[in-house]
Amino acid sequence: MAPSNELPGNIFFYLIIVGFSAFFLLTIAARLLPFLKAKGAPCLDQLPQRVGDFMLVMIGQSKFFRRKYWYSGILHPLIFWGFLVLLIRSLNMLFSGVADPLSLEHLPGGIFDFYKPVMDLFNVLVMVGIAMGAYERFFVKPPRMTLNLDAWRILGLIFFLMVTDILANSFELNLEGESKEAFSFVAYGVSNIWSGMNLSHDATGMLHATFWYAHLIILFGFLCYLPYSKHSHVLTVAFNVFFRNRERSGVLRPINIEAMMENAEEGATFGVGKVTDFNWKALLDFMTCTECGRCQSNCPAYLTDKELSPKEIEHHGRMTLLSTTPTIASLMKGKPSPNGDHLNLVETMGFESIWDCVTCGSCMYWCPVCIEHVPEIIDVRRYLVMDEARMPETAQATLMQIEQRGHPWRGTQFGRSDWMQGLDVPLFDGSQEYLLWVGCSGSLSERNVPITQALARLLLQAGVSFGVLGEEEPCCGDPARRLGNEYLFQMQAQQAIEIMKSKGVKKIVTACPHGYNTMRNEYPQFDGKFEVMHHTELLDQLLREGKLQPKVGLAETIVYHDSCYLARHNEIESAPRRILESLPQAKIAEMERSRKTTFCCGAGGGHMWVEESRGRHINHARTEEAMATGAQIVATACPFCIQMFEDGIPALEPDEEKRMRAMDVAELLDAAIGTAPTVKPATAGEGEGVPAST
Amino acid sequence: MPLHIIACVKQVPDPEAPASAFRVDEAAKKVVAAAGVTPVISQFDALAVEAALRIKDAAGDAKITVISLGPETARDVVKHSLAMGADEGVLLTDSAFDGDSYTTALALSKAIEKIGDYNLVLCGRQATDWDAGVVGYGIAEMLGIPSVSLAKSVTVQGDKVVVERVLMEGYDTIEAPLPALVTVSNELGEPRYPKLQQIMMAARKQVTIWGAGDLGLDASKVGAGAVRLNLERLFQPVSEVECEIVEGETPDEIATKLAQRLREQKII
Amino acid sequence: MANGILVAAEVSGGAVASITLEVLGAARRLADQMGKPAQAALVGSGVEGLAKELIAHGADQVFVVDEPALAKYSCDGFVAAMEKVNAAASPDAILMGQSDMGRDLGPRLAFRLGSVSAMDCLNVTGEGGKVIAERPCYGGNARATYSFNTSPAVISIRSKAQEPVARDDSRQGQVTKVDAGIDASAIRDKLVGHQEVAEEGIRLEDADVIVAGGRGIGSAEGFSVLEELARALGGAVGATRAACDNGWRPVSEQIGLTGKIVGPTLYFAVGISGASQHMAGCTGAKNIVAINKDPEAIVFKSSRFGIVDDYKKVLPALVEACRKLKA
Repeated sequence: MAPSNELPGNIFFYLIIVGFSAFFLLTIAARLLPFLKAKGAPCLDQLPQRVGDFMLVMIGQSKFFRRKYWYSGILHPLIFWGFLVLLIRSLNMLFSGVADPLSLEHLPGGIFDFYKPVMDLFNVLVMVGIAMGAYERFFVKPPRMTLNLDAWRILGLIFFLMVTDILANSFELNLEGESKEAFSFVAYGVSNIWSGMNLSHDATGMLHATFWYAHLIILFGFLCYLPYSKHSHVLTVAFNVFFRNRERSGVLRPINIEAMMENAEEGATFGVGKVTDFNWKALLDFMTCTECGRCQSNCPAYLTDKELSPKEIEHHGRMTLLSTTPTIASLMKGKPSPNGDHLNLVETMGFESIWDCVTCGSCMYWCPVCIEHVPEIIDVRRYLVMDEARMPETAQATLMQIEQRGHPWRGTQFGRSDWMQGLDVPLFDGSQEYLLWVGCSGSLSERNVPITQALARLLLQAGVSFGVLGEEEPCCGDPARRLGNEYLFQMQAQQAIEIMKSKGVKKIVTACPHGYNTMRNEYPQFDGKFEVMHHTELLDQLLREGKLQPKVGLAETIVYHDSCYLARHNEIESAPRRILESLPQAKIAEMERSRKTTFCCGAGGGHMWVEESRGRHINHARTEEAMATGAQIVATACPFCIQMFEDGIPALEPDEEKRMRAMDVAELLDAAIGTAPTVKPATAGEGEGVPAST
Repeated sequence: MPLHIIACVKQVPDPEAPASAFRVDEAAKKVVAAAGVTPVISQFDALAVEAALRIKDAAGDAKITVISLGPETARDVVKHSLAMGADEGVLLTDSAFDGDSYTTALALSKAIEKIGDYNLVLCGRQATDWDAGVVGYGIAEMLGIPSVSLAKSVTVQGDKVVVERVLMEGYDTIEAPLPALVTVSNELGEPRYPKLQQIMMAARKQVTIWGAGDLGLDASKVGAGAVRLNLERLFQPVSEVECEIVEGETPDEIATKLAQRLREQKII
Repeated sequence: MANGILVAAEVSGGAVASITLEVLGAARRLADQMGKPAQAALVGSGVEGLAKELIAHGADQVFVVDEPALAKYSCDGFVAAMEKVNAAASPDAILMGQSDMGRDLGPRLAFRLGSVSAMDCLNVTGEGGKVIAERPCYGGNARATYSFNTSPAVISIRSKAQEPVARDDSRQGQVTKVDAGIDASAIRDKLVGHQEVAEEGIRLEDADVIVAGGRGIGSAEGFSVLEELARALGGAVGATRAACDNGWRPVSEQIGLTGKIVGPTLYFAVGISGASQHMAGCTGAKNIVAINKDPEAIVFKSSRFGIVDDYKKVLPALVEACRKLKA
């Protein structure tokens, strides 16, 4: 019997339920308005995978089980699973509150009884989780976290939910003297205290009703408070995880520019300049972020004292969103309007923050609730570039350069086929198996040319059937896209796809992870479907097939630096390591941040060409990590990473004798195969680079 | 009536193309266009458009007309200027215009007269192909308006143009009554990046095409028939210096050797 | 009836500008080649006394326009004055320096006279009675030579490209006053302000030794060793446009086509690849020493001495060696 089954308890009960529910529903209705007006996001593709992923990430809490955050990895699942388990009891409270026959107690076979010990166990485990959380917030105070009263309120509410649950149950046991009382072992234990105190039946009934209602009020109070708390993820996270972007994390989605131009006259917006320009999934991200700060404490820009914190991007997104959300009062008057002025999205997030991002995806990898920071940041960049033409000077120069000359390497003294001199590399004519995509860097950037040559020698040596596009090869478009010029990117991508289709290209191999990501994951958006391989994948395959046999020893320690666009965005981690392991006599070292948790070299997201004007240099931070391993060689598999190391090493090690060398995996393998001619040592770009055009 | 500014722009071979791609056909006395090197707007001319846009921004309202003289492909630089924010574009294209700076200045001045009602003409300080720095003055002289060169800033104040003129050391501030012609130098800053909306609008805009006849010019009295400056020869200079590489085991040895060689040669 | 090679002289700080002496040298040689007199136009206010300077440096005849309205350069005023001088002198060619004044005066004067100009020339010769001017174009990648179908040929000469003739105070010449009647109110381009950008130490244009750095220096701090070398040799530091654009050096130190044109005895090109736009600014250098890690750098092609090594290692040693040598 619930206290609400008779007068006057049922009046209280329905007042509480109707009152709180009305408030909650009004809040949700107000909050949903911007969502209903927001742009759509693809969210129902790959349904079976979505379900599996949901079970793993949401129910299984898989993103919490990471060594770096083991403490939270214990406390959060305890609370979360407790929440799931105890949800049943809360539902039962409502059912039985309406009418006793609805109570789950009456389920056949006493199934509910067997569930009781689990619930009681979680009563305790949740409180353990709360205690751990309180300890962390009070004593440890991790810098990643936003420590404020809000979190204490939430912890307190959950704590009292547990306390009132146990107390109400314990009095109920005494009240009804059930036969299977021992199933609720915690409540039973507590009820024994009351038994010892010889409370009267009325007093017991009174106390039961008090804690029963207290639990009910806290439960509904918690529900109503959630939307106003940074812990609103409780309400949104399930949707956020289920509707997450299923594509690889390095992918940016296209804008249909032509359609926008046709439909919209003056005033079309191509990126996101107002918070309401975001698609609803981004808005959901803002409402789902709990400001745990894992993103921030793994962000290369934040860690080198730049303006950007991915956590703040989400927080500011939420603030801006809420500033456009109508108040409940206005909703009830039928004229939905927000309280006060809309916040300006760019100013709130910060122009500098938007441009600090290197799109490395570390934030997205670490986020336990599947927030997609990078596409959101790029959406704002798109607005700044295409709608407002507001960007750092060097970003503008880079985009201008790409537009005018079709590649980002301003002032290069190389042509696209210069590297081929002295090598018997055929032009692709449709008869070869692979197209070797050389890339702008591979042909036009001084440091990368010898890498391209080494790769070509290896492919020739292994008898791989391949050809190149030579002078006809365009830019893949990656820099333009990451720098926010989607229009320029789409023109370049379409041009590249057209050329490759006309030549009958089926398989592509490239030494550039950025080109790899764009061609493999983004070209299908424009009907360009090719089988794309990174050179480390193909070289690894050739080694395993015995087509390449390293024989020249290299008695040095090599540390491999994972490119973000290989390891994190595209899960290519083992192939390059296997190549290094195949080098006779070489010893392999690892950095703390490796594989999917790698740390950006500083050149991603178009930052290869954008001046890093704030904070420490990202490449110096990463070079330090590589140098700390004591390795003589840092091996890379990306044309940008290698240059960032070559720039960082002399800056940190004045003594040239002691300097670590940066080499591409292909260069090391080329040397070990013994086909490399006596190459002149690569000289760091001392070229003037930018010949004054005047 | 709002200000009407005319900016003159030229299409040039990309000055940033690799030096190895630069070839001269001495017989034809022409620079050979390198494969894969696309022509661009002359850098100073983009700045002339930028200066016009800054005046328009400051005034709140102004009309900017861009004119280019060149082959059909020069339409691209007119479109680029429109994308930057210019309002109208004119391309002067006619084989009769193949001549020297005299014909160029004459055709441009006739076109400006035909457009009429202008307050200010802006040009780049020089085109980055021939580096002559002459045509702007020709236009001013033919239009009979004052000229001020090498601007690092151009503002319109009432019926005057105020120019900061770059000098070897510092700058002069010069005022001239409108209409006037100003040539713009790189110290002005960077040309703006076109917004996508404007690129799209520019793509839809018509570029007016005029030939010699449209400008009331007798084809036989311009271009090849009216050359004042004869190009006798065009060639790539070859350096006649033989470089002596100073080598040694240590930096000290190299440095000492170099110092001695410089002393022997009485250079220091 | 053309009868001379006229130099538009430039007065700077009450004296004849050094570039005018170089142009006079060129005019003298051209006049001798063509068997005509070398003339000079001295336009300004209170400048008459400088006529003998021009004669001492090679002028046979000086036309002086000395009027208050010409105290400062203006395009309108000086073009009008030169128009009068041209009428009086009727020269074959009018030469001037490619200076603040010359680059503005030359083209407009040429069009006023119904003729044409060739600007920024390196050399001018009189082959078979025809004036031929040679000038760089395409950012220094090419050279062009021109003859003139109209007269007078207006030619500006790049600084440091020509040698002055030795001063000879015993030379005799004729001074003619020309009344141009310039009315200040008729000058439309009015000078209303002037701002000097103060430069420390030796002016780049006057320096005998220049130590210039480019992109290869890598940072603003990297230039300190260049400064040391410049101090040791009593020279000045210069930079490429790339180095200035990166903010490593002030724009006033920029050498190149859009920066300063210099002609020192000794020019160190450190970490400079040798792009033509930069080299155009130091073609007047008598001796170039290139220091670059990259043996393929094209700067070596125009250098007399070269060191293939990291400047960070070589320059400190070179500073020491030069100090010892000077001591």
